[in-house]
Amino acid sequence: MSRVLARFSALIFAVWLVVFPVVTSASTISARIRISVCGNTITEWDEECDVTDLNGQSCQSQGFGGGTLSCDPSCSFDTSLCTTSSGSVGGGATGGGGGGATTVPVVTQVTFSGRAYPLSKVVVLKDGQVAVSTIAGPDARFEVSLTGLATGNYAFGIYGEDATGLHSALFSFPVYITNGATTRVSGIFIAPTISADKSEVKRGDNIAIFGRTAPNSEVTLAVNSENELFYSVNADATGAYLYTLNTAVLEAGSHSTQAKSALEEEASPFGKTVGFVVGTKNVTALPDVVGVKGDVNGDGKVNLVDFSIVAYWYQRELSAEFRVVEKEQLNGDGKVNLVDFSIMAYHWSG
Amino acid sequence: MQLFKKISLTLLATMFLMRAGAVSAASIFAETETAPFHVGSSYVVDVFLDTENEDVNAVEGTLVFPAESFDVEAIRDGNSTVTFWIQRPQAGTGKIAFSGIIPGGHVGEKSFLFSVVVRPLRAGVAFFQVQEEQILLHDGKGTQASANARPLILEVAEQVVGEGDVTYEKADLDAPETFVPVVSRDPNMFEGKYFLVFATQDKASGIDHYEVREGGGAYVTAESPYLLQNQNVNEDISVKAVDKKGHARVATVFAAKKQSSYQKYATLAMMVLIGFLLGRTLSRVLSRRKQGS
Repeated sequence: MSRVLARFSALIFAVWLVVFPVVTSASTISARIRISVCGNTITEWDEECDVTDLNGQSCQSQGFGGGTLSCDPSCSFDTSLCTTSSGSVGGGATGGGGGGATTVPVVTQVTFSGRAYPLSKVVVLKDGQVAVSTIAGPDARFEVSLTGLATGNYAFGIYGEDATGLHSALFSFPVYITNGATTRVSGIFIAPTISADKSEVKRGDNIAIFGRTAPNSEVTLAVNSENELFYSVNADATGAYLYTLNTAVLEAGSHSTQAKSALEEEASPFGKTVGFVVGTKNVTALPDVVGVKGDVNGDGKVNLVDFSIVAYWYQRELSAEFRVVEKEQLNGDGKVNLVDFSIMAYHWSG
Repeated sequence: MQLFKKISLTLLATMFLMRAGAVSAASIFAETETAPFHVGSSYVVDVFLDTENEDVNAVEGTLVFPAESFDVEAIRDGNSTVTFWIQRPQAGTGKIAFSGIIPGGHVGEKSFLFSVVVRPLRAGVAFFQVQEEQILLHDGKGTQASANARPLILEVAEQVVGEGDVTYEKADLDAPETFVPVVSRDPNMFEGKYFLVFATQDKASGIDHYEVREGGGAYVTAESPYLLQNQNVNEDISVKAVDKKGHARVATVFAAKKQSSYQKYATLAMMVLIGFLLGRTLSRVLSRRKQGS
């Protein structure tokens, strides 16, 4: 037995030596969102209390003479059983609740809130499929809720669609949903939409980069060049932004740009990438088509239907017709493999 | 002997931990909450994804283990981080291949992919390792993230009388998630015929299978994409998702081209009229022949 174990150890050691590890140092910039769960008995950042956790507070600390402080289903204090110093029953729930004893919320739901673009459509995906949509207010703020959820891990994704029909990048995040609790995901800041007026620009001429974001936010444009360049511009009161970039500072060749926004100490992640070439002539950019990459059936969406069509060709020899589609909308290597699915997952719209 | 075994295992574990700690790379790795395993009992081996702070959206690999040492009793993929499986994990001899995507990307240190319930067949040291692994970045190009193998080294002890199965399982009280099947057609699939696509998840035990019913017919076991039998697409189509505990969720696609009552009566009237005309013509032909003869 010991000889077998020794040989096995030697084998493993040999494998370890042969398979030399590769080091990576990539990093990502991600937006900060805040998640709280009303119903988990832990008072979090936006809650006064949570079921039995009163955050160290009492009727007295709330300005009453005595009595029993409790927590209502929206995680706000219920002071209806607090008494004044004269002995009368106090002023009811501060957060709109009623009743006497501690109440446990029974609805399992998740609420999303944050900023998109003024009056834009905001779409919420649940596990890759459209679950609900809403319209943001004139100030770009939105709030939307989902119910009918089971306990478990969910992958939620949110994107905005601006007035011109452009989609933002899909902002996705995993959330663990607890039965009987309300989970609030706030501080979502949807990345700006982005477009350019030229697909090729004569070196030294201007290229206009524009899109939509939250009103009056500061937009940072990152231009991928030999050295990454950053430019800043403010969005106007309607959320529109425009930056005119003089391409004299860029080398000839392919470039790309992305945008992110910041407002009142909240920031979005970088959004979609727009590519352009600095060359010898000016070529007007074609109108952006939503979800061109990965949209194999050409319906303007990248969803389960496209996934199914691509999965049908997975590890099969492609037909002449589908070879054309694969070249235009996937990675164009003449076969369907994991890379093609990754491209679809990036452009996913549900 | 026991001391030697412990030293060897410690050496192996340290070696792999050193290797894992020395690099910064994404990995798919197996882990178990129970050790050691005993011959004859059942145990759960979980497979996780560590993205090492990378944003990734596609994973693929093959979990390899000694086939002569373990029987696979079940594979559980409920509550998986993978949203859509390209290749759902399925047991082969000593290996389980899988691939799937996470639309929108995912970052996590220990994100659950699936579990395998195994029954050890013999004592000794064994390892579970994900091979041929691919973890692709969420960058729109499918760039491969650096992957780092992290094998699970297991000690399997001889059978112990009274040792029970350790197959902890989450209680499943809910039906699968709500979902919306979609009828579509595309020249690149099923020769341009109508097909149905559907997918949902079950957050506890996982999806066992789907069934499809067209019109008033019976439910038949089906997989997405499903080639519709009724290419007129004029009847409602129901899809039933059944989880591994037997809970079912039904979603219905209502026929856009469904025949109205008026259309049904009109079709019936047309058929009666045609039958009447055919009968009369036949009767006249026969009567003329009779007169002629």
